[in-house]
Amino acid sequence: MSKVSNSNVSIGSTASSSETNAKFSDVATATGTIDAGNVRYEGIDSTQLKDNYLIVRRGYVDNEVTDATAGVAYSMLRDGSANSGAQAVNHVGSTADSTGLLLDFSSNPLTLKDGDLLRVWHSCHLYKHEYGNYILTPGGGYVGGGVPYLCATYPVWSLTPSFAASGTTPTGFEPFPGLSTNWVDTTLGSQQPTMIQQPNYGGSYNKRSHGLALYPLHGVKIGTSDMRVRYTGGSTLNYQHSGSDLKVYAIRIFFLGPVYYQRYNYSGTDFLSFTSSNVATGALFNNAYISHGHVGFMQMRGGSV
Amino acid sequence: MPYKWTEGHLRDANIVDEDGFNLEYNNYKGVINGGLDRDNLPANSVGEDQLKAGAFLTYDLSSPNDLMVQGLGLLSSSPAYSTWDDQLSGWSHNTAQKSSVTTREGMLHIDFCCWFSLATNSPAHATLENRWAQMGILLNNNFVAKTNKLWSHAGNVNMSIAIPVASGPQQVHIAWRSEAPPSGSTTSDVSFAYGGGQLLLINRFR
Repeated sequence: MSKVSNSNVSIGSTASSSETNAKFSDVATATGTIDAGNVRYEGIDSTQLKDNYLIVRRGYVDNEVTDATAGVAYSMLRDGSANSGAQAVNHVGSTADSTGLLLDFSSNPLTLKDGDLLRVWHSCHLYKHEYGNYILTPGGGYVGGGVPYLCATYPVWSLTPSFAASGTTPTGFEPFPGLSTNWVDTTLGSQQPTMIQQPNYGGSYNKRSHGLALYPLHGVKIGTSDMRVRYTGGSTLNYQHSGSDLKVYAIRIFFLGPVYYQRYNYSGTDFLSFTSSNVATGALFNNAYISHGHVGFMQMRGGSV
Repeated sequence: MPYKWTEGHLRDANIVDEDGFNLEYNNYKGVINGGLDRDNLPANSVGEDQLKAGAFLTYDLSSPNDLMVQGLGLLSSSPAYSTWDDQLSGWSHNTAQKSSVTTREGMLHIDFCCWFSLATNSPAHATLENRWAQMGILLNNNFVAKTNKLWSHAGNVNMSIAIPVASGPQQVHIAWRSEAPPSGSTTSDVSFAYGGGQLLLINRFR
């Protein structure tokens, strides 16, 4: 609290100009450091509050498509020069001003302060993929091949102004803290494990899996190259920042698949993984089609309990 | 309403005595010393930079680990899934990763998101049909939100609810269940898993 504390002018004393000026200087000084202590109890009403006083920033992007029945095709597994690992969900159609599921803050970076909460929502509609025999032969995995394949979408961010704003090549993006860097690996090979964290596990596999949206690959078989999935998946990712200010230049939605969830054993050590399929199966999956999607964010400023 | 001063000027030949000066000056002091209120502050003048953290709400985000089936010390020997044995009694509760907070009177917004995987090696369910699971949020051991039955073998759970709460301690945790095993099932077989779970509690004050 900024407090003015000086004495009254006494009766009979002479109020010199310097003394008078000093008293008003006290007031002037105090007004420069006013804080909550100077404000009367319940002295501020909603009128005095700016918009966005709790939600610092928010926004969203829709990936509208011109041909919803076709969507955009994503290769499902990298195999040499064919197909891909992690890819950015890109725009399809002729709308020139759209770059897909990208929140571009480069002209005014998002500044996260200590304690800020960043919430990212996204959803995509998996229209179909090209593996009509999927129901008959679910992919291998945990316990005798009982775990079927799936694909995943998830948000990533760019902490540098140099990032790919269009196309499917995810240059300049990185996973949110705690997630494996495999989620932005464009060269992820077949049967590669992407580790996720095990609570109470004493090893070094400290990877997380929050923010993943999973998509089942079963659906209605139209032909050997057309499995109509028609599944809308989506997730929420929450990130609470701590430390010095952090600038976020972009958030983008990526795609990876097919993978399956399993207990992965490597050199006698078990950990949990989303493991990419083998080359043969991945090649059969060929393309997945995402017809439309949405990504939104909210930056909140509250306080921890 | 506190004193709201206006600019004034002393007239020529006015005599400023001590009492008059002190009276006027102390009004200024009184306003500065804790008397400022909405009449002294312009509209739209207080933004997030002027507000103290936690002035209107507090939040609690589960961290640093994700909420997940794995590692909960269930009956299953598998670190990846819970089994039929784990779930034969109905709802399974993840109280090991509960959130405990002390709220102020107001609204408690609870948000939970995770991915899930239904294993498919049950003898009666070699293919992908006819399997389901369900998840829910409990506030102080009472269900406040449930999903519908989840019929796909993989996907996400997104649950969100706002509940009026009184001041005091609150506990929130997640529970799940899946269908009963069909006759002839090996009850130690793996059944259901979820991971990547984040439980976010936002307490907005009244």
